[in-house]
Amino acid sequence: MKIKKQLFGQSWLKKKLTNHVLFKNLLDSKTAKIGLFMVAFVIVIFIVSFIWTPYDPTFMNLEERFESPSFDHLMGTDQFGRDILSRIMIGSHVSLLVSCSAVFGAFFLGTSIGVLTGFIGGKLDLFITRIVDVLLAIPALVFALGIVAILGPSAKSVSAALVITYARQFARITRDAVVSVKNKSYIEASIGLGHKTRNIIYKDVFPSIFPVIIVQVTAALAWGILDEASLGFLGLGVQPPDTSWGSLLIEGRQYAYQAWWIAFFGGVPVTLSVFGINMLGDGLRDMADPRSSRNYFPKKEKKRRRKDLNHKLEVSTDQQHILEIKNLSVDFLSDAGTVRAVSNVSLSISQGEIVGLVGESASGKSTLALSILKLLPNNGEVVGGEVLFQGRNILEMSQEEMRLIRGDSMTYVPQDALAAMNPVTRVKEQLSEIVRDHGNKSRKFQSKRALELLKLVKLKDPERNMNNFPHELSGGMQQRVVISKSLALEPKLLIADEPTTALDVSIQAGILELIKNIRKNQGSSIIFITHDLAIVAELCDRVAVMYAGSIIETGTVSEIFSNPKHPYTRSLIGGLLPLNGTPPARLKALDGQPPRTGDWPSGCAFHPRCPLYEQLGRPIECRTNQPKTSTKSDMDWVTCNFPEIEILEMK
Amino acid sequence: MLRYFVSRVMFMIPLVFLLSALLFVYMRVLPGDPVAGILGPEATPELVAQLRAKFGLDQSILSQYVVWLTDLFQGNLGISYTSQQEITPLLIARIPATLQLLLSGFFVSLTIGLPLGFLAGRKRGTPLDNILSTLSLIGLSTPIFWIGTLFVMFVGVSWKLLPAEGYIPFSENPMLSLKLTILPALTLGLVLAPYLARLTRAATIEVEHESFMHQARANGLKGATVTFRYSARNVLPQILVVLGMQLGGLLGGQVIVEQLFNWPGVGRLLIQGALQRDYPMVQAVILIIAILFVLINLLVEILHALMDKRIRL
Repeated sequence: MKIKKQLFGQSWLKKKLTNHVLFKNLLDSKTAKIGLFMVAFVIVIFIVSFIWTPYDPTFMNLEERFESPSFDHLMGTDQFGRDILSRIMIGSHVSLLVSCSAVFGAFFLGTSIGVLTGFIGGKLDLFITRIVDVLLAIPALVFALGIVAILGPSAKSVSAALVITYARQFARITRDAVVSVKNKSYIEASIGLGHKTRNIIYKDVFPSIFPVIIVQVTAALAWGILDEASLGFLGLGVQPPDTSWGSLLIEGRQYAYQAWWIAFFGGVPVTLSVFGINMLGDGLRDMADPRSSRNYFPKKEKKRRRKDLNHKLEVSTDQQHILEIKNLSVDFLSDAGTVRAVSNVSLSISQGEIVGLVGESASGKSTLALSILKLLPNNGEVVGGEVLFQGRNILEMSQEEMRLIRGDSMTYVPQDALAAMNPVTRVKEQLSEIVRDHGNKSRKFQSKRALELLKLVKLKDPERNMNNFPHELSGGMQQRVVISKSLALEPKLLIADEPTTALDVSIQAGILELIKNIRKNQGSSIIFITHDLAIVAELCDRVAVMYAGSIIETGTVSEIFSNPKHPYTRSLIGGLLPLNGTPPARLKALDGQPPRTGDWPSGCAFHPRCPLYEQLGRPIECRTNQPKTSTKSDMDWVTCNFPEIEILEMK
Repeated sequence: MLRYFVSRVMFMIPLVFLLSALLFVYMRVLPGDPVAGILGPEATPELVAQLRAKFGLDQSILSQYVVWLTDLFQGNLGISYTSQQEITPLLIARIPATLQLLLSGFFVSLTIGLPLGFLAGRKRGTPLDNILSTLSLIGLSTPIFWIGTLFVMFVGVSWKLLPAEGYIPFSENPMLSLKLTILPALTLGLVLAPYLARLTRAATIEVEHESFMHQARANGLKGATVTFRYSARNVLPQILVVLGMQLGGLLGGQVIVEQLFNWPGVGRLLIQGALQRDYPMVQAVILIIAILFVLINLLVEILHALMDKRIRL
């Protein structure tokens, strides 16, 4: 009780209650609102019943025994002619008082034990936690039954039994929360600064574990009402002539053959209250759990180390386009409205060509890749343009037609190989299921092909490793397996989404070599999405530079690196090859922040950060008009109003 | 693998010891005198002393515990205060009925909870998900004895579709035994099914965000392959982790359902014992239920280790 007094004496709790995000958002949640409404309704009935009930709930009128519901008795009468509605209202006294007092008793007992043991730690913690764990091995209702057996059936024993029963859970949860909070740096700092333990508990520990506790309290309230009613139903709660919601059901069950209304109405109040509390609890939990709001693109793009450059001056001289994207635009629907993630993108890729797709985070690279695969998330939508793959517009294909293309002639290589593989099946099965789902039913062929593929990607000891699970392989091996999956049916186009970013530099080289060989031996075209200009220089034939959802410049690797046209491309290349000779660790960070997806600036999206824009005295056309497109060759172009003017800063 | 199992089983032994000790202390430390309860307020002191000696209550708690524990290891759970009969045979006679109900109830909850939760998770945010989620929340909030009574009243009595209550051993009349099991099993199943549905839904949503789900589609796998080999195969181990603790609810529900349907199982011994303050009986039944609970959890843990290949054994 001492702790209780101190708890409410502290002003922080009051502040927490009003300022806590939980409570601010509470009324925004529909679930919580409905729950709150139902709980309020039950509380009103509870309060009214102290002052008024339709009839005296103990008044026996044997002439009105077992009357079915009517205007006189809305819920009928029982075996003694008592009014059911009045008995339900009066029953709320025992049911709600017993369960609420039990939950709050358990809360104070349990959290006190939990906070103390968690905070003190050491052997005491070990000892008490072990005992609590063992006690938790007895199911709640059975545990409470045992205690009532000792104390004798009555409302008081039920209350006491539930206090001890729920205290176990509270103690365990609080203790775990305290231990995890205690290890956080700011609490350690408090201890280090020599603050009094008691103050640390009140000021630091309690507020941090508050959301956990409040969710647990709501859950326990729901449990409390249900368990109290259950014990009452088993005859262990209040004894006649007193009534509770549970004991009412004893009669309901007993007279189930004569008077359905006793049992039928008898269960409504418990269900209603518990449902309301559960709705409230669900609302609270959604707010306390940040995972309920997820980003659509949680993938983080990592920073890369620079590698030695060695330009490959291989110019692709090509005939047929395997992929042609024409004026593609993609929108995303979000709470904030429609967001244009990819805007008016055109790009052609020839047979056997490796095209590097570069750009900052959130420039639309991944969305573009997903659109080509026709795997946009549900809230993404292609709003214009077409994607021609081998001459056919994939946007007009059915999902099943597209499925047969995916994994067969068009495949995708992800960044994080381990995460992209099914953790519960073996490498061999993962390879054969792709072959199987694309039509070849022969098991023999499937396993033969699996081995062949693993040899193709030069996996060490393929016979043994094909029987391993993905997590049993090393990082480099995992990436090789994922690549082998994408090669299963000799694809015409590979979309590789930063396949080397997660790897160590030494392993990276091997994977890049592998990708080059795929192109050489199978003639596949490859879209290589990356952050790393060094890799582009080493691997690719052509480059497409993306900025703010648009491709702003394309060109052969030699051209882009020796003679970039767009100020953005020029800044990127300039950052890579600075004049002072010391290579920077990564891409030069351009001045200012990259724009947020969909929140593109007007005119040329790059103008707020453009060095030329400043240099030319902020020409109005850059701000207001779409920049004009100048072709460099029959395949390449640049979208800038002033692609030929030199940038002075860079010299 | 074997070493893991053995170590898990070995871990259980001290647990059961500690459990028995705690249970014993807890039955004796709390206030309440069984002898006074049995004999009533008018009993003579001589009679009380006589009965106390008979039950060994005149000795110290420690020696009482030693006697109880030695008896326990010989399979003797003591003598009932009220019926003065040995408890062990009484309990054993009732175990088949309890297991029949428990297993069929578990089966019902799995067949309702798993598919519906999985469906809701896969169709997250759709009207179907909203309906299923609301239904499971209602199920979660409905007291089991109410559902059971409604079943008895409507299915059993009004519509006369199934026998409303009673029990017949499976060996005596299999058909009737099964018919009698349907309503209690359905009632018991509805205790756990909403929890299972919610857990499954949450786990399915979690798995849906995994990048291997995206990659499975990018590899052009069939819808059925993605649903069963990718989604379901990864959801199941996650449910197993939390399933063990939830089974406590099933064991508690078992006690109520037995009372509700006049099912002569172990749970009713517990209720009778509690009502008549028959300590040895209550103690024995709770110990049996707790050991059952621990055993189930052990089983679940081993199953989980077998299913989730990432767990190092």
